[in-house]
Amino acid sequence: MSFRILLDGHERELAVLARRPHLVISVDGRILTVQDPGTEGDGRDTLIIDGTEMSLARVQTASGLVLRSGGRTFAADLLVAGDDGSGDGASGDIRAPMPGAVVAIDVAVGEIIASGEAVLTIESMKLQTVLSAARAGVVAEVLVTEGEVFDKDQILVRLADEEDGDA
Amino acid sequence: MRKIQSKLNINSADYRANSAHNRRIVAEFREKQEAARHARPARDLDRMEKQGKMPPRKRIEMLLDPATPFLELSSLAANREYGGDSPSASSIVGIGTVSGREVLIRADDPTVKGGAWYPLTTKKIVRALDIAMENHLPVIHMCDSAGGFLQLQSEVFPDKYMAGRIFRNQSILSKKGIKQLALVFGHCTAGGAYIPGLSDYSVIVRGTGAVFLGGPPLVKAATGEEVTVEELGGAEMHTSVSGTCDYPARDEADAIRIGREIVSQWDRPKKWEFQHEAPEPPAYDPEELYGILPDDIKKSFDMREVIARLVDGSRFHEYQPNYGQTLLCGYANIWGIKVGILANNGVLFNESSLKGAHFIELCNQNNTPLLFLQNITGYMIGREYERRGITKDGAKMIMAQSCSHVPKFTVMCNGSFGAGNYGMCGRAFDGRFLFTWPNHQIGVMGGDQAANTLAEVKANQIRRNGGTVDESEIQALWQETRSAYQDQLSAYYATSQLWDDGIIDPVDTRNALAIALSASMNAPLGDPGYGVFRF
Repeated sequence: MSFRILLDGHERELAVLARRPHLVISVDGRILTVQDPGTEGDGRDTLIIDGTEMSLARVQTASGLVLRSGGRTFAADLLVAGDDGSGDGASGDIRAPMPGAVVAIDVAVGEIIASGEAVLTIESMKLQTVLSAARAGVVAEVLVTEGEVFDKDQILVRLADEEDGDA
Repeated sequence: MRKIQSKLNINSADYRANSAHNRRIVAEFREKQEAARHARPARDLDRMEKQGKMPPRKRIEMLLDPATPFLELSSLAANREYGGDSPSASSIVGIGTVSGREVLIRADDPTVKGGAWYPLTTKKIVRALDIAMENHLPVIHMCDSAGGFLQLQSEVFPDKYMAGRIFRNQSILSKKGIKQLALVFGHCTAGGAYIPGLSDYSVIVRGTGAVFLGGPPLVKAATGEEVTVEELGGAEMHTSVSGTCDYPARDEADAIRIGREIVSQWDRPKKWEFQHEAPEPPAYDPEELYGILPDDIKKSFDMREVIARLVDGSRFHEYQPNYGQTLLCGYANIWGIKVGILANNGVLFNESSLKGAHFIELCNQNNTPLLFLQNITGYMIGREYERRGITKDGAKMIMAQSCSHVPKFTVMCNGSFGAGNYGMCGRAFDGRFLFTWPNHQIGVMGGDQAANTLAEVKANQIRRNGGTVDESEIQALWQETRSAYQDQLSAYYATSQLWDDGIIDPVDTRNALAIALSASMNAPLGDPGYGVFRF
């Protein structure tokens, strides 16, 4: 479930892919890294989006949020509140959706991965499918090797919760 | 209906690699198509010009209403056969507008081998007339052919779906009240003479047009009679003595003028009531299709991204979004016309098959045409799936699909392997039109699987006969089998054999489908009902 917002009359779909080390969001499929997202209150703020710094002013009004940046004013409204990207509740196990063989493993034990990130590629019935993480976390165990054959529902990779640390 | 939210990242390395790969494939297709349409020896073109004849594509251009589209079908038929001597299978077929009526145009191509009919020429003409029959499209024949290609007569003449079928189809078309007009520009010899003979109207050009069962040389050989072409079957004789043709024309342009006037006398067919809205372009650029289709047939991709670039406003009402997710089902509009789409997002499992069968029934209940977007490697195999009845669930989908009374359309977007081809309305299932993208591959199984199976069978044979199997021998056999098989999987092989109605550039799909959908609305819906579903 992702957020849907109304920005200047245009509906946008927004999903939080990761919170650490930086906030990673997808806006209508475009993936952006946001550094130093600041506070939520009214006032002036500075963000770094994909390495570019931008400053903005923000005020919460009765009819929604109003933003001003680069000499333009934007009205923003939240239509559907979504998942905050922590993946709480989603399983930390990557299971085989069908019998097949491992083509490639894209992660290593200890690696921090974001929700939606590719974990491994499997091949079944002549078709390669990328299995992705249902939530963010740390790769705890990789239980298969490349070329290995597995059964339906077999656990292929285990994810653990990421330790809370510096963000 | 909600707009599909594309998740495509047009800055990603994958997108760029796919895009470069597919643009190369499409450029290659365009090049082949251009050659099939226009590359001819100057000698042949000069000869035609001296006879006062126009090249066949020029004739079609003059016949069509100005600035209206022409959907050419099977432009690369026979591209792998007869040493390239039969471009487009020596016959141009397409749908266009003449005097305000949607018609099917079928033209002989005299610029190669005198327009002789090769085996695939007859297959293409039979298919063209089937299209006319299924969609109630009037036919305009543009005749200029030397007749059957004698060296291959056994593949042109005798069987059920060979040349005789053309004349059978012409007769049935007329019986159904579907009009036919023949414009005789050149010779119509032997069987070919029946084309104007069985058309409701015919126009013949003075000097160059001729219709006869046997030409002068054959007459001389058979009876000793010496006679000129003009005396035997020219315009003057047929329009004033025999009554085989109706109107004499001064020249080709005059024949086309008379033809257009004849068509303008025809009543306009009533289309059946279908749901439609004001057309709207897709919200996403169709050129992005190039970046979605993978550079390897084995790589999967999300068909929602494809649908988003084919349908009006990229809006898609998805049916059962959380069930049987490897088959996408839902409603959308193409140039305003409502369609029910079934698109593969992986292997067909029990749930996806049941969902597909159910959705097909809904579309039939709703009089909504079906559009199948194929990228299928088959129904899931293995112990668990057989125990759960994957065969009978697939059978339900095939039953619902085969018995559908709404028109069906298929686009081969990528792979089409095994029985998945059947469930998803492959060529055998009487879809109204089937188009192919140039990256498409089709076969009973993939190249690797076929090579494995055949190499295994061969090795077992040797073992049974008491021999020992040399590993390098097996390897050589595998390689040989694979490369031969791989060639037959290609879209060009498929379209050469007329397993489709032509390869199209993915970005043209929306327009091609709109013309096909519009054509299909001329024929009344079939009879509703199904056979016995195995539960």
